[in-house]
Amino acid sequence: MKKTKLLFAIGAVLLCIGHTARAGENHVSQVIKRDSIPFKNYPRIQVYVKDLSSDTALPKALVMVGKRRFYTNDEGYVVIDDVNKNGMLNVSKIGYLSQDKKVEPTIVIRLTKQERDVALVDFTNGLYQRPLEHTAAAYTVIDGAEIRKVNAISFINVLRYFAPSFIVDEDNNAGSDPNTPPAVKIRGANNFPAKTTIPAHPGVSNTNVQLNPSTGDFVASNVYNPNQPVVLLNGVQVALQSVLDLDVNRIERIVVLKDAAATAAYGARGGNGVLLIQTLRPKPGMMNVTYSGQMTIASPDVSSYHLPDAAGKLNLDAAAGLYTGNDPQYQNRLKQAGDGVNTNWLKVPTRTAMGQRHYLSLEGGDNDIAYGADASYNDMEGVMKGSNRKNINIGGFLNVHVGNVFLTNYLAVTKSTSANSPYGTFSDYAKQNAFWDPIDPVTHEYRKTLELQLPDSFRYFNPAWNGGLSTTSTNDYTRISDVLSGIWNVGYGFKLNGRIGISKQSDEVNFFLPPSHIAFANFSVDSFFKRGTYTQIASEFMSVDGNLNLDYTKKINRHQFYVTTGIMAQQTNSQSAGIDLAGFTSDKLSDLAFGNAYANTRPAAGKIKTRLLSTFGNLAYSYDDRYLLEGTLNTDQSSQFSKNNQRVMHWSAGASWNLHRERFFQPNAILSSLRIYGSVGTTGNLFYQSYLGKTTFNYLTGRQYLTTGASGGLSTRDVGIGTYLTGFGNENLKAPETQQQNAGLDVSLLQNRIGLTVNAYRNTTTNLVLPVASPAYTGFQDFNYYDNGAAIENKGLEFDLNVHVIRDLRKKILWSVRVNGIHNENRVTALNDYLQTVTVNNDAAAIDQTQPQARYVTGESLTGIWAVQSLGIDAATGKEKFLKADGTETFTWDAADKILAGDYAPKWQGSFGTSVTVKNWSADFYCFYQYGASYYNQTLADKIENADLKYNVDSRALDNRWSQPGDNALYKALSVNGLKADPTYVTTRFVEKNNYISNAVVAVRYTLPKSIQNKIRSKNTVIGLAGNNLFRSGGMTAERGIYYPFNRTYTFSLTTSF
Amino acid sequence: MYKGKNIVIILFVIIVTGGAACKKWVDVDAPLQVNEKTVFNNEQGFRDVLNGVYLKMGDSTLYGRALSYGLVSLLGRSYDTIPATAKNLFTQGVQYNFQDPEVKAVMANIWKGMYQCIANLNYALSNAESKREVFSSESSYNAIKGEALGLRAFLYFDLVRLFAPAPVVDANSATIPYITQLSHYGSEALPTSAVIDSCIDNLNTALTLLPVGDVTGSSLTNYGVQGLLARIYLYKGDLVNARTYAMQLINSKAIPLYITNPTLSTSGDFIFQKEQLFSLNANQNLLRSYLKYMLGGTSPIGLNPASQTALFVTGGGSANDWRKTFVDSVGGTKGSLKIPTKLTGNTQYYNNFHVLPLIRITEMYYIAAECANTSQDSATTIALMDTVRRHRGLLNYTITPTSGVTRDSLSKEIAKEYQKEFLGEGQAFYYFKRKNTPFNKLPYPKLPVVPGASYVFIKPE
Repeated sequence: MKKTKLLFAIGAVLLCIGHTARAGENHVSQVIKRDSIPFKNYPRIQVYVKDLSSDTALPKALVMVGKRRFYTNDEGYVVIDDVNKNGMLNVSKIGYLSQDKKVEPTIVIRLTKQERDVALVDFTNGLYQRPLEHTAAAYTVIDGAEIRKVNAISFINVLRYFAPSFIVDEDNNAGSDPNTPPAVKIRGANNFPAKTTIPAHPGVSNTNVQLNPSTGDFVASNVYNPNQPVVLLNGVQVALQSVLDLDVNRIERIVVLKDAAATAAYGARGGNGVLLIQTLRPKPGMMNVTYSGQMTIASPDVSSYHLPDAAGKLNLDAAAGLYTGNDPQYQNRLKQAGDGVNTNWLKVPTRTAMGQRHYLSLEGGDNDIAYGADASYNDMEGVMKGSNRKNINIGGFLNVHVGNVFLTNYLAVTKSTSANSPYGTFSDYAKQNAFWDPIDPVTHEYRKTLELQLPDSFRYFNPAWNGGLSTTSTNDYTRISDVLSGIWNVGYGFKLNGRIGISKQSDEVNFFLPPSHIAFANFSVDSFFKRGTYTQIASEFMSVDGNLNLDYTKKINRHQFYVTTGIMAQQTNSQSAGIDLAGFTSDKLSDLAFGNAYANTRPAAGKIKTRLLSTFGNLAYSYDDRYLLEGTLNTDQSSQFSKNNQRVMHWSAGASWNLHRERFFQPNAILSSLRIYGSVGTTGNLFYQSYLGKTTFNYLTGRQYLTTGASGGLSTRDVGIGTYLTGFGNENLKAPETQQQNAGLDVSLLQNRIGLTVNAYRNTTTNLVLPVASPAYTGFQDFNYYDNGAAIENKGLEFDLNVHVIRDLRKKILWSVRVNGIHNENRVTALNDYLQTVTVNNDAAAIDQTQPQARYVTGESLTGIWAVQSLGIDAATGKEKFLKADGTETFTWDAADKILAGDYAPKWQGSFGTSVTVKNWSADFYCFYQYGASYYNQTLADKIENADLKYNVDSRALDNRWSQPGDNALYKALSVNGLKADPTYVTTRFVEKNNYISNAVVAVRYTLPKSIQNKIRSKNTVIGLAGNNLFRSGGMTAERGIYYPFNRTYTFSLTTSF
Repeated sequence: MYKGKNIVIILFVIIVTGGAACKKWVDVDAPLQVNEKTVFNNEQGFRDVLNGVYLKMGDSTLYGRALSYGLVSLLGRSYDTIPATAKNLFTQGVQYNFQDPEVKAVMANIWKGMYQCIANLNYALSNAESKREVFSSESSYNAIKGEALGLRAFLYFDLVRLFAPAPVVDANSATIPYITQLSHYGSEALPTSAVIDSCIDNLNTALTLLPVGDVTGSSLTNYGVQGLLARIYLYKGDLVNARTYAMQLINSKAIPLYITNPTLSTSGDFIFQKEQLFSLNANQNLLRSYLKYMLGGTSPIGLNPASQTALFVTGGGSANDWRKTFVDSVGGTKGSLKIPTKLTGNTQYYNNFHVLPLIRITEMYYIAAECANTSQDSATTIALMDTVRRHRGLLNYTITPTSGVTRDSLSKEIAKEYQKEFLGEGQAFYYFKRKNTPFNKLPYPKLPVVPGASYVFIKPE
């Protein structure tokens, strides 16, 4: 590359010399009278300079004729006297590519804008861009650098700090498992959960949604998580997991598109909002190398666990009468505790994990060719022993500019390997008694049996035993993706851009339980060769995505027009096949090949293919930068649509008013700018299963119906094959539609020191795709008929307030404070028969009633907690007293008496924080909060009242229990097995408030001063130290992180470039 | 630049109109399923659906077990020895305890499975109507339609026999839904009489459509439809028509009775396959299935040797009754509680391993005999019964037509024939139900029956 540069430089020098020489000629010729040599010079030429794409005049463009310099006026016009006919003009302007042109009497030069990214405040939805003041859309743009300041490892959890409408649901079961992607949504849930809408049929595998999908399969991911937004990486749709595995350093910006004006162009895909992620593009210039490295220490946060110690548990057991008739066991356990066994089981499978990440990128080139390459390695180590996720990303970038065409290609390869802990789930450890010792005192290794209980020979097994075996649970994938995009500045205000994206991902899941795993510990001798299981699933996902957009911009005086129209085609292919083997003889033979036999006769295979074709047009008109009107129209055709609704239309209309541009608005010190905007429209929702509009059959593969009875001769081949209905398509099925309304206000005060954005919205999703409750006699047994029905409404308010308390750029002292939040009201506005049966079925005795079950009731939210109203523990009897629906009191729990006792979703949630920069030091402190949420305290239910004293309980189990008439107790009487003796079903007694403030980030960063940086020849060297999730205040008193604990992380990071 | 402008205009037109031409492109079929269009694009597709229905009927939830040697045979008293330690389903099923969850589940699966077959038939029928052009000839269209209509009537009739009270008890209450179009909607239940009349209607249509002379019993043929009509008319109580159809079949001699003991021949037809008007080639190893299911538990169930003798030998019978091998066990030790031989076949010849008899020609003799007996025509009754006896290695009855008590004793003989002839096939249960036999009058009174027992199966919710 240096050589090219050199050549370029030499060329430039030569050109300059040439110019100088020619100019010299001019100089000479000037001596000669103009009239005498009319053929050599033009007496006067007119130069018009225009912008190629918008066809508008360019003022202050530099026009060079030899050494003479001229600037165009406001009309983009300049007159130059006495110009050599053979001369060349050079026109340039900042932000545009310079152009040379032969001299003519009248010259119109159209300059091409350098393709650079849209300014951060401007609107882009991935299909078209508009200046901030020329859009009515509700959106949030987040700078990648801001995200990295807050969390250098993962962006998803901190995104809501910048965009309150981006909601990440905390998963109390999965905790901080690096291999469980979070559930995210924008504003509110528009769909019923997948487990409700996709009823399972025993023995029948669903062929309308991918079985064991690849983690890159966004079609399946959206069906299983129907409330997550569409995720677009550089304009190409991907699964959420794919962007989670992207290196944070690659992110240039994230845009959250929230309303119809922003997403209507996406039509059937826009209903849940869109998350747009744009990665960095190489910047032209000298070769630049950037390195960023992080060291992360994660420690388990088990502060929510309150487990009794050995002595405490033994007391409790004895008090409950566990050892009645089995005193030897009590004595034995007492002796163990007396010998000093007091195991902290929470420590057994957990660890303080050390992860690391390295990122290296280089970029360089010039305006014609720019290139970049990046490589990163991210090793996220979880706090459960052996649990991790390692991602390697390698990418190469090429930017080429030829004439008016800009071409960009980015090729990326991701290799991700993830492993789950061989120790299994955390809850298996939390339930072990402290008087059991996992370590064998003789061998100092894990023992398999913790205790042999006599006289029934019941054995308590040690879950940690599995951790020492070759237990394997991994999920690896390789993903290759390429995006080629081109922009052609046609001129006259037209711009054409297109994109082709191809990605292919191959996943492999390996799950091996060795024969000595405790899952097989109770297998009898005759099942000896069935011990040990191996599951291997190979899946693949490929998507091809292409689009072509045409932009037109025109400005006539105060009238500004924008027109964009585009077409997009997308195809996805997904497939998977899984096999199960059983029967492994040794722990050492941990390969598929050593299995004894298939556990199932057939592989579990799935295949889904989808196609989508989308066209849109957007027209925006702005008058005098003050008023804006815009409209979008989209038509979509999808393979998910049914025969009689093959084409779906969506639209939006919006308006905005920039009040600060009005004449009546006097520039003043208090109000800097004020903008109001609003939009209405509809978007769709493709987050349901494929092929529901198709009537399908399947052939019986193992049997033939032969008239002659037996196998017969060759003539009987194929005549007896049988087929049967596997799905009856609804040819009138429609895609769900979300009607969206949004009104927003942007105001900035005190010279932009205070910025406030407020948005109010209301989204109503109708025509949801739901199963129909068909009676058995319709013959619809192993499949469901789907129809449109029910409706869900989300309405709410969101705000984001950003205050620059101190903004002294000269002294480099900055202090800003941010508060934001969202209030969302979710409610079901209509139900269908099927949802009513779900509610009824969820109340059935066969369903686990010790935990809340979903209920769908018109007017109530999807996330309500339904429990029977408790009147406390009756002092006389020790039984729980309930209030029946009819107002009477009873001791009998009845599911029909359930009332809405709370809501998991908070009334308000958001974040607040502050950022301080003093010279080279900066510090950030951010917290999340939620208010008005409830929670069902499962710990009180499972580990106190329903506790089985065979295993460990909550340390509160001994206190506040009813023991004799007259006791005013919080909990029922102590018993050996509460669930068996007197089960506690969902009761309002255990519904707690869940309002909390949790720390997200505490970070300090130091930027090396220029003087030192120059010495070590680096730029932008930053050293940082950050802590995430350090504390939490308030909230429920239940255990947090059931299957996987939550963690606190401390990250040391270093970023530099040279 | 003009070139560019043209291109822009062209592209603009493509973008705007582009969507229109792509309907085909976005129409994607489920890769792991067969689209209905592909299934019904030729005649064979309709045959495939019928095959699918026959195979489904052969499932263990339907005629492959529950409606043959399973629950229905327990209720029909094909087994008298059900130890208390046997499977819960057997101990409860034999007591007519329809409230037992396991018994209920078996009944629910019958209900679901039968209607599933009906749904497939309905869909094939409506497609046959709309896609007549794919049939090679009018007669092949007729044959498919007739068979589908007949089969649907067969299924509906068994549904009504199981899930509705017998017409002698109550024929006019709404009992089961009668559906002729594939739809996800629920529909009103029809009275038993209406369902039966619809069945008769469809069967009459089928008679005109199905070719005469086909003796392939493994699919529903014209003879099968005639036999079914006789059976339905008798159940309905229309003895004239029942007798007409039964006699029509007997007189046609299309399906003759065996002259020599077929179980002794080299081909070893233990299940008398050639006497069947309609049977199911369930295509599964019935013997293995029987072994696993009936004898898989700790205590095998079956017909006690003493009861076998009582049924086949004592009282006008003979140890030479060809059908005695129905219950004699394999491997020589005759008379033990083992597998009915009729299911095993000859070990050298596995042809009838998977044959499930649905309608036998002998039933036509019994139907005709019952009709004659009801109209006091003892001579005809005895003649018909004797015909069967002679083809079963037995001598003629010693009862004379003039005897005063003939009618009742003949009735008893007919009932006994149902027990012998249809052992492990379930028809005996329908006989008891049709007659509304009091539970204490069922064979083997040692088998307890729960109080409040009923012949009506319980529909799933």
